[in-house]
Amino acid sequence: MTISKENLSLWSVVISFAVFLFGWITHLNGLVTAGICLVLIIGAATITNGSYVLKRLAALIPTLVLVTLFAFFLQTQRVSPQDVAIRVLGPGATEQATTEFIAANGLDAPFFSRYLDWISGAVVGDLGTSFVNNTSVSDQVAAALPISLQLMVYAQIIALLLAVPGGVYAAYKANQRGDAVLSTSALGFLSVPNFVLALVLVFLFAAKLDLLPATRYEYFGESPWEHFQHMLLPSLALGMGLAATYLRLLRGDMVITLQESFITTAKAKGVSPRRVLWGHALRPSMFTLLTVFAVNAGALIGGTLIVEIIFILPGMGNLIATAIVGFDFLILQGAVVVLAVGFVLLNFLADLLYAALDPRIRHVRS
Amino acid sequence: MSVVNATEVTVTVAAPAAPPADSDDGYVARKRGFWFWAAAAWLGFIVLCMLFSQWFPGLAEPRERVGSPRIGPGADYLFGTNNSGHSVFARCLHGARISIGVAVIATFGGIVMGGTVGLISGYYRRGIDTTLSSLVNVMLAIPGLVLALALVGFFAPTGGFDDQRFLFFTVSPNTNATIWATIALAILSTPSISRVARAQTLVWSDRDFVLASRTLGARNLRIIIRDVLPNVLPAMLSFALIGVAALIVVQAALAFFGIGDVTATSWGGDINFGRDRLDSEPHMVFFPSLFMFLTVLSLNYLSDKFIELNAVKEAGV
Repeated sequence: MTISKENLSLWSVVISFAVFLFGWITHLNGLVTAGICLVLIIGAATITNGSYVLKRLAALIPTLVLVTLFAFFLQTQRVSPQDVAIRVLGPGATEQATTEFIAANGLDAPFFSRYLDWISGAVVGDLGTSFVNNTSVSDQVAAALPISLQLMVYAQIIALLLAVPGGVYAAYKANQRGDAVLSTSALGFLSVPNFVLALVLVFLFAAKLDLLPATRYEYFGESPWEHFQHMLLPSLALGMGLAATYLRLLRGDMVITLQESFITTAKAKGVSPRRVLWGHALRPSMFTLLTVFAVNAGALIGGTLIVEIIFILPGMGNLIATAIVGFDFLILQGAVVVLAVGFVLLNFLADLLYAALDPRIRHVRS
Repeated sequence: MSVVNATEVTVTVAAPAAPPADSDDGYVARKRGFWFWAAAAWLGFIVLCMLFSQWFPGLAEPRERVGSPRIGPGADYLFGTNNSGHSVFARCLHGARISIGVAVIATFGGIVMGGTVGLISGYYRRGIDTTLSSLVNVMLAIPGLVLALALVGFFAPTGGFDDQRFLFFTVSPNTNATIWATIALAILSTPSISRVARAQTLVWSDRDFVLASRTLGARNLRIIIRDVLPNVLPAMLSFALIGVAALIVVQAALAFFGIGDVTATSWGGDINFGRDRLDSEPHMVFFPSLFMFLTVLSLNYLSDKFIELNAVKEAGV
């Protein structure tokens, strides 16, 4: 496969994935590598089919503004300037001292000017400074985010490894015993809340069998083996539910594909069932899975937050929980904004990838 | 996937609107069957618990000390006792009130709000549709649990003993937390329900009987309520079953973050309090989890069945 204008987008995704891996292993700043990847992908996509990407990018801006505005609105509604001043200066602060503090920090400014002030910092990566413990919100988020991202990536890998063979097999044996077993257990796993699954896994593999560690995070750079040991149970807890969703979707699409005439042709030509399934039927059946792959990221983010709390991993989930308990609303606001913006960008990238895979989309939507 | 930002299900719900594709397999007899009634019976039992648990004869109060703490399940204490010597069995039954009640009320709110938005944008189309749809998309741009955490985390203060004002009422801080959790979950379910309603409205408002009504001089409001709504409702209701299942899980998940009403008797809260002693006394976590699992499973299964039965009905049109 050579690099040409047509497949530039795919190559940019591959290259930025490599950049991401490199940055992850060498412990570069996560926000920097993510930024480089984003610029690479959007740049390549713009070169390939310029106006479509730029239009989609422009359509993103109102969403991003509204989402950040919403988070900022919640935060300012909850935290009055007086509270902040008293928290920073101590409970014995005089009336005059608090007034001076509020004026000095611009806390009495009108809502929109405060928002503009904050958002202009946020755009360049400064989410403000926590009034509770005087640390930079960006630093805390940057420390927590990679751990959540790793967990999500592992969960997706596990889900796909389980769901693709399972879905293909279930579609092949549609309405027979093998399908019934797989589809029923998928419905079962779909109904287990992932924190319940996490607790069951901890109980079985950590408490009873003593095979795997139940808590604590281990950095990949320090000991890759231990890292994967520590991440296995949380990723399983997240991945099983995802796998069930994917399996059901893939089975449904594949059952339909298997009734198409090109499959009958292939069968009539004497192609082996294995080749028909994996070579002919799988690719056209994957499209719903791809869209849901991105849409599901929202559910995955939610699941990650809870599972992190159960396994005491220092990711975004624990950051949010600590912020809520400690009344650290700037951190809560920062975490919400980062997760929401990340989710929006992820959906945008998935859309680009989808357009790159299926050229019809570009023309239909633009 | 359990903590559902319910959008993922939109796809599965939208699919059966197409004619059932497995029709050339031969007609598969779709009857309700044993498991349908088993699921319905379980849900009936849970709803009974939700409404009437405090009048069940012989059932311990949720905070009644029935024995020493952390006794295992057995003949004396059916499901054992928890950290404070409360009966786990009684708490499982009483817990249905908050766990199911909040989810059901929130889904109802979501249907009212989402249904209105979806019907309006699907019926009037053009500018109204574009505006409303982009607003819905903004709401969908925030991951479900994150939205719930933001709303409840900012607005439902944990702790505190003074009564607080909520709109026109004065309520205790814990009730306030529960109300905010319900509102947050209703807002959470609005965008996905409105998408379902909009998609269905787009289909149904093109049908001939709508045209007939319009020719007879019916006004838009009447057409929406009398002609479109009854046809859109089934899809919304079968979606609502999954919605309730998803919200039960989100509601329980809030307990893990220490927000919402942390003192109430609910399955999520009990799971969260019991998990410290998972290795030695798993029954404190196991039984509330089982109740939650069975309820969510029943809801998912019934929703699957309704979609199947509905597909038959639509194929018969």
